[in-house]
Amino acid sequence: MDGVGDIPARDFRALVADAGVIIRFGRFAFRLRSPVEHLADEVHRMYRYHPVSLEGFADFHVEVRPPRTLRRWFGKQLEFHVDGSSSFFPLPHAQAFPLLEWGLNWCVHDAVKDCLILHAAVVEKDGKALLIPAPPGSGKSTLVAGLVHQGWRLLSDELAPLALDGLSVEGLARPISLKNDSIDLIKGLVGEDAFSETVRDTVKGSVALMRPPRESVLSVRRPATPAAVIFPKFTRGARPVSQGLGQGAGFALLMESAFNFSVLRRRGFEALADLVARCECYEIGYGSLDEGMQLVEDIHAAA
Amino acid sequence: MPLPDALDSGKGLLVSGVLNPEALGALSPGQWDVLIRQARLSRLLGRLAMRFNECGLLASVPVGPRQHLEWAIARVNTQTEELRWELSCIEEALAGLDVPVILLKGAAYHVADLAFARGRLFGDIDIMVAPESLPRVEAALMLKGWANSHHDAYDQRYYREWMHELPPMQHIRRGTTLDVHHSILPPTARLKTRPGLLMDAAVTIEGCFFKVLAPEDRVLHSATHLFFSEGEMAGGLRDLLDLDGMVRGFSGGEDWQRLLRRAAETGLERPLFMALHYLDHLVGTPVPGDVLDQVRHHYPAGLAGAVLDWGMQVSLAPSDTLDRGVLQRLSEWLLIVRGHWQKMPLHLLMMHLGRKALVRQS
Repeated sequence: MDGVGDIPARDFRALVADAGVIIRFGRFAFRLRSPVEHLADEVHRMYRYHPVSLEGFADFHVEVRPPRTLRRWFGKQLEFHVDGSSSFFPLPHAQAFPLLEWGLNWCVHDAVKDCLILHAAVVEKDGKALLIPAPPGSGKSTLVAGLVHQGWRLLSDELAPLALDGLSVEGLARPISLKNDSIDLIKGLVGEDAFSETVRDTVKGSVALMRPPRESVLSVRRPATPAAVIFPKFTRGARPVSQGLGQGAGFALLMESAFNFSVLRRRGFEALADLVARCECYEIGYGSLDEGMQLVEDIHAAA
Repeated sequence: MPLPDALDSGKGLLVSGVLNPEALGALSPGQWDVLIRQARLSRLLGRLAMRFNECGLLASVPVGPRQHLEWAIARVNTQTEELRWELSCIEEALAGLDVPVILLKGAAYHVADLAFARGRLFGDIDIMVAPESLPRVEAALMLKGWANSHHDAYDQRYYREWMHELPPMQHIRRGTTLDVHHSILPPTARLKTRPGLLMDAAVTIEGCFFKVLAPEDRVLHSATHLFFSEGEMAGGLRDLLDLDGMVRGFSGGEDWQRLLRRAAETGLERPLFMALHYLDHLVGTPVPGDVLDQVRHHYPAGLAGAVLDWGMQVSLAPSDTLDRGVLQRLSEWLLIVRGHWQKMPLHLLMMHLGRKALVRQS
C-alpha cells in the first residue's frame, strides 16, 4: 500500500475534495473528505508515511467543511462531521487541522469497546513501553516529542488502547500535538519541516502538530508491553523529583483518564488492576525537558 | 424468506443483513463499508451484530467490519446490564403504590424477551400508568431521585394539559431519563384512542414487576408511535423492523384477525394500515393479502396520499449519511409538519409554534 506522501500534493488535494481518501493508523482507518485545501496540504505533510487507499472499508467517515446553514456567511468557520453528523461546535477556518485531530480522537474513544482507551501517551524502547497519562498542561506531549527525537518509538501521543488483559498496548502513531512554548522548544530540536502551521487562539492556546517519525508509523501494528506508568508534571524552575505512587493511587489516577471505563465496566476495572499489578506507577516533577527525559530514562532502565 | 431488492442497493443490504444474514454471502470491502455505516445511522448496528452472532457468522466477517459488530455487542451487553439496574430502581420506587405499571417499547421488548429486540439499542425507558395514578407515581419517583427536567411554566403546561406524558423525568444522580405516559397519543391529537383498553389488556410476565402491552396492542402502539407522533423518522427503519419482528411472531390467520378487530376497537386502524403497507412494500414482510385489503381504505386518497407515501418512502429508507439532500430535507419537513398537524388542533398548534418561535429558551 502506498504512503500518503507518494501521492503528489496537488493530486492529494483533489482526491480529498472529491471522493475522499482512506488513511490507515494502526488497525483503524478514516476516510477524509474536505474542500479545505490547506487542510489537505497539512494532512499530506503530517500523515506522509501513513498507508493510503482510495477505496475499501473505513472505520470513520470524516468530513471537515463549512456549515451548510446561514452560519457559513458569518465568519469563516468549519465543522467536523463523522458519518454525516456533527457533534462539535464549528471552529474558525484556520483551526481545520487541529479540529480534524480532535475529531479523530473522539471517533476512536467513542467507538472502540475491545480495549480500555486511556488518555495517555505511549512510547517504547528496547521492548519496554511507558504509559504517560496526564491532564492538559502537564507537559506530556513535550516530553513525548523529546523522547521520540531521542529515538524512542512513538505509539501514541493522546490515546492509549490498552488490551483488556492489561498485557499490551496498541500503536496509533498519529501526529503529536504541541502547545505554546513547547512548539519552539521542539522545533529547535527536530527542525521546522516536521511541523504543521502553528494555529493561534485555539481553546488550548497556540497549537502545532508534529509528524510522527517514519519508523514509528511503519512499525505501528507491533504492540508493546507496558513496563511502567509515569504521571509527569512540568513546573518552570522546579527541581527534578521522582516517586513511586503505589498500586491504589496509580489505579485511581488511571481510572480518571479512562474514556470508556463505564461501557467496559468490570472488564475495564480488571484491565487496570492487572496493569498496576505488573507496572510501577511514578509521579515525576521537573523544570526542564532534559531533566524530565533523564527521569524517564532512569525509570525505563529500572523497569 | 423473500429478499427485497438487489443486494447491491443499500436498502437491500441493511434489511437483508438484519433479517437474513445467511443470504448476504460474501460482501466486498466497499459493501461492508456501506452496511456498517447505514446500520449505525439507522440505529440497527446492535441488532445486526446480534443476528450475525446468533447465526455463527461473526467469525467469517472481515476484521475491519467485524470489530464494529463486536463493539456493538459490547454496547448491547452494557445496555442490558444498565437497563436491568434501572428497572430495579423504578420497581423499588413504585412497588409500594400497588398500581399496574406498563413498560413500553424497547424496555418492554427486552423484558418480554422478544427475539427481534436482541441487540436493539435505545435511549430512554418509557412507562405507562393510568391517568388517575399519575400524581402518586410522579411523587413516588421524585422521592427516589427523579426530577422534572422542564422547569419552564409553559413547558410544564404543554406536557400536563396537552401531552400524553409527563415532562421527561431525569434521575439526579444517574442522569437516566424516564418518560411517564398515561396514554399513547396526546389528548389533543386528531387520531383518538382509549388508553384504558390497552391498559386493561396488558399482560404480566412471570417474575417481573412490570406489565407489557398485549401482543396485538404492541403492534398498534409501535405503529402509532412511528406514524402518528412528532414526525421525526430518524429511527424509522428500526421501528419498522420492530413491527416486522412482531408480526412474524404471529402464528396464523387468527392472530391477524385479532389484530384487525383490536385496531377497530381502539380506533388505530390508520396507523396499522400504514405499518402493514410499508412492511409489505419496503421490508418484504409476509402480510396476508386479505388483511391488507381490509385496512386499505384507511390510507389517504389522491394527492395527499401520494405525497405522504413519497415522504415516508424517502424517510424510511436507510441512508449512507445524515447529510440530507434537498429532497430528503423536504420530505422530513413535510413529515414534521404532518406530525404536528396530527398532534394538535390548528389553533393550539399556531399558539404553540408562535410561542416557540418568539420566546427563546434561556
